[in-house]
Amino acid sequence: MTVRERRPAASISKCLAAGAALLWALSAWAHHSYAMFDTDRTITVTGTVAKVEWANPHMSVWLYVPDPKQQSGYALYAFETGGTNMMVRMGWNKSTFPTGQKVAIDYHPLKDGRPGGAFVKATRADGSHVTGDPGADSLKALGQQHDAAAGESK
Amino acid sequence: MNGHSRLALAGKASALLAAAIAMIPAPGWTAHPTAAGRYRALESLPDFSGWWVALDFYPNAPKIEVADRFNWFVPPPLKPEGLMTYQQVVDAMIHNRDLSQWGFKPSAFCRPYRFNGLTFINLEGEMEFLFTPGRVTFTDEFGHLRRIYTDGRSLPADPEESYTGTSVGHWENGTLIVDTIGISHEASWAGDWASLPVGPGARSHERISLREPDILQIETVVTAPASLTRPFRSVILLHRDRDHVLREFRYCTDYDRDVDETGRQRFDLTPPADLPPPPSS
Repeated sequence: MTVRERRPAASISKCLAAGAALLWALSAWAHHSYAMFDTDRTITVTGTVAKVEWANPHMSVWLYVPDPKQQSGYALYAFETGGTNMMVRMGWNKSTFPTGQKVAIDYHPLKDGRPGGAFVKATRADGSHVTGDPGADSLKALGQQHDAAAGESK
Repeated sequence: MNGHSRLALAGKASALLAAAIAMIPAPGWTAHPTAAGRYRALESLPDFSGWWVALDFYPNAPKIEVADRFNWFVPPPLKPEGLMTYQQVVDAMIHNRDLSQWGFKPSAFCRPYRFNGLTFINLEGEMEFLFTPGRVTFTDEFGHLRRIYTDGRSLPADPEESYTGTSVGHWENGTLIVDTIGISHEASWAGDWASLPVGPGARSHERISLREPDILQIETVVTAPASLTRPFRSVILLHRDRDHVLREFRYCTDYDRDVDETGRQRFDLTPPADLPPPPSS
């Protein structure tokens, strides 16, 4: 199984620069927090697209990730992103992830360790990228901005 | 006349005959009433067509300085207890903490949001404004409807509460002015994040106009004596997207893996029933 982990300082700074996304994330479109996901960590897994659930209020990408410990030889991962209108605005469509396509997915893992998390970015074999709902990172950036401002005012 | 011409003439005659037959009223048929020119009155109104999305969504959105522009970090003038809850909820939201402790999430129970007087908190997502004679209808991404009667009627004295309230409106120099009462007392100042009720007796006064050709401004003053210490003025800016094709979106027509049947946050990893088998290596 291919799993890489890194700390996301660079992506946060990008979010801070993209101020537009911040207020978006805090709009009521985010109908809950991202408490289930560890937004301090970004992990990458490589696998084969099993299915995209084109659904609301959240779409999910299901991925078969090679894992010799599993009887089938694969572990099944789920990655959540935004709803259909939001993701269409970000360039997704029903053929963005054909079943059987090989992709590497960056994600914020579930805090409880189960296989899945909040979709951050996918990289296809040809090097092209697909980004997900920026809500988790944007909210975190807002929190950091808020805390920094609160610290300065003390 | 050659054979082709005769055929063409016969074809035209048949079409005319069919059209004439279609126009013959059936027994008992009477002419349907028509709008009788009433739609012409709409031609003088400003163009609100297309879908409207929060201006901040657009990376290259123009920077517009507006007093009282809506910002989640500037809370409504809530009474102390409500203000404390509001600040705790926003703080939890931006620090990715669980919001479950703050109660009822309408969407988790297949119930619509309740309009709290401020469009784009509870009536939210992409919005559309539909004009018909004597009425403007607001819709949004989630299928909510607000019906604004512009036919000169007055607000009823004491309407029953509803999810979207009872509204009347009128036009003044291109500005749609809307007054709303009958707002559900359970409508929340914290949207779907938490229960922070507006309380009984809330009223909303909105002024909606095109600030620029593709930027709509909604200026709202909400009075809610049960939850606010003074009227809450807020300005929301929306950007027009003429070409967008809305995807159907209703809570509970699909499955929310993030919220369980008690309203608590989780992430359900039950695979879809039609998941294809793993690839054969």
